[in-house]
Amino acid sequence: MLNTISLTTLSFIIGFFIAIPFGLARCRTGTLMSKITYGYVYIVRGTPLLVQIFLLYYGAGQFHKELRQVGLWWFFREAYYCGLLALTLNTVAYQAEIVRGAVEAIPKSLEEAGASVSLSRFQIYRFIHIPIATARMLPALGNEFVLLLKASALVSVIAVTDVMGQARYLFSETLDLSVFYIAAINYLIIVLIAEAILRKLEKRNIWLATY
Amino acid sequence: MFELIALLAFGDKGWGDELLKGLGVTIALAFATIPFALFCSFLVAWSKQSPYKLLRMAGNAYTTVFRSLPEILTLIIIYYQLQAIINSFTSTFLPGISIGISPFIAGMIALTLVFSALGSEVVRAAYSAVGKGQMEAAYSVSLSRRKAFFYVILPQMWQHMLPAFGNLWLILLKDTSLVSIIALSEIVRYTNMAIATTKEPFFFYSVLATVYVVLSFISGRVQTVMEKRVNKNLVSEH
Repeated sequence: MLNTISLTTLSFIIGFFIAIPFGLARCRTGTLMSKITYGYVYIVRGTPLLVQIFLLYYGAGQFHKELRQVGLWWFFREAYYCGLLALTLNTVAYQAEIVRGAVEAIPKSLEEAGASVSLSRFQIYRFIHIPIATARMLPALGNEFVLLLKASALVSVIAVTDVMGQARYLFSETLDLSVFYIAAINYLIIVLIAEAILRKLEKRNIWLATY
Repeated sequence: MFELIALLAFGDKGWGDELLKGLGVTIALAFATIPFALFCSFLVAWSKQSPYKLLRMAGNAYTTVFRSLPEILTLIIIYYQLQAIINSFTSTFLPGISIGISPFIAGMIALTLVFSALGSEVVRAAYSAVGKGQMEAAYSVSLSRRKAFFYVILPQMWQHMLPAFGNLWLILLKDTSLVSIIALSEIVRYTNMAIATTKEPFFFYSVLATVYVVLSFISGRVQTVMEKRVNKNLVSEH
């Protein structure tokens, strides 16, 4: 349970901070950065997370000599860290698209309105772009959080003991199907709580999102 | 490098034919699921709009549950629970015979459940996007309920549903990889077998990822063509 929550929240938050520059780079169409980030997003969204996890965990295991030399082996040796990395890389792609959508949807007129009351470029960013984009992104980000929470169950295939991993371990010991139902109830409760919190957050900012 | 590519050769030495066979199973699973999934999406969407409160509640509960559960958990529950039910059934009625549930069927059921929970929302949104006026217009030229739905509402709904169903199709395609966990011999499982013998995980998983990217690229292309066709044939109703 703790592993599930920590994996999800950590990768979500780290992913968000990486996704912001990625999403902004995606906005500048035609530049090299936009093409690179587009390629990244395309590949990550086009492959199953299961394959990404396998690739990172077992793929890194193949290069353990090199990784040991660079001093990164402690990181790739732990299934937990590999799972965290895979989830983060995965959610970056999805969140970058959310950031892009929110930023691109801000009408130019608002920027001009800000300039007309002689706000500086930074002030326009701080007081116009960021609040509106944040409010716009919230529902989509909330959705992504729930999806990530569900996706985190996949790290159980590389033997991380999250809710799913624990359930599979208990099932292999007891052959009692009810552990899976208990796991299901766990996920249901976490998701419902997350959704309730999100709805509260969305309500607070709804006037901004309707611009 | 050449030794690696040689591993993908067809025949006894390479893994090319096995991977291709797995790819076939992956695609077959996705295509076998789609008709049921679409049908269930409509069914659940319809139950969510029914005048009966019980049906509405059941529809909403269905969506909430299968949207919240991880796909892998749904899959495992379906697989083991069905097996348990069949076992208890055969032991009471047909002693001495044991029937195993095929992972293909279990995968189809689980993927259908997941797809239709999301798909029912798509159907509902499309239905309300078409608008009540169309239904009333159809009634006013004395079409029956069924005819009004199939000839007037449904063709217009496609236009609204296609982009969202395209996304769901991609999700479905990726989710088929999970069925390897319950031992269906699709492409991920063949890849794992190849890795178990050759000890080249990085190469094989990269190949696997490429295959999936190509699959979603093709799907994207097909979707664009279909959307163009639908949008060409239908005049905007507003």
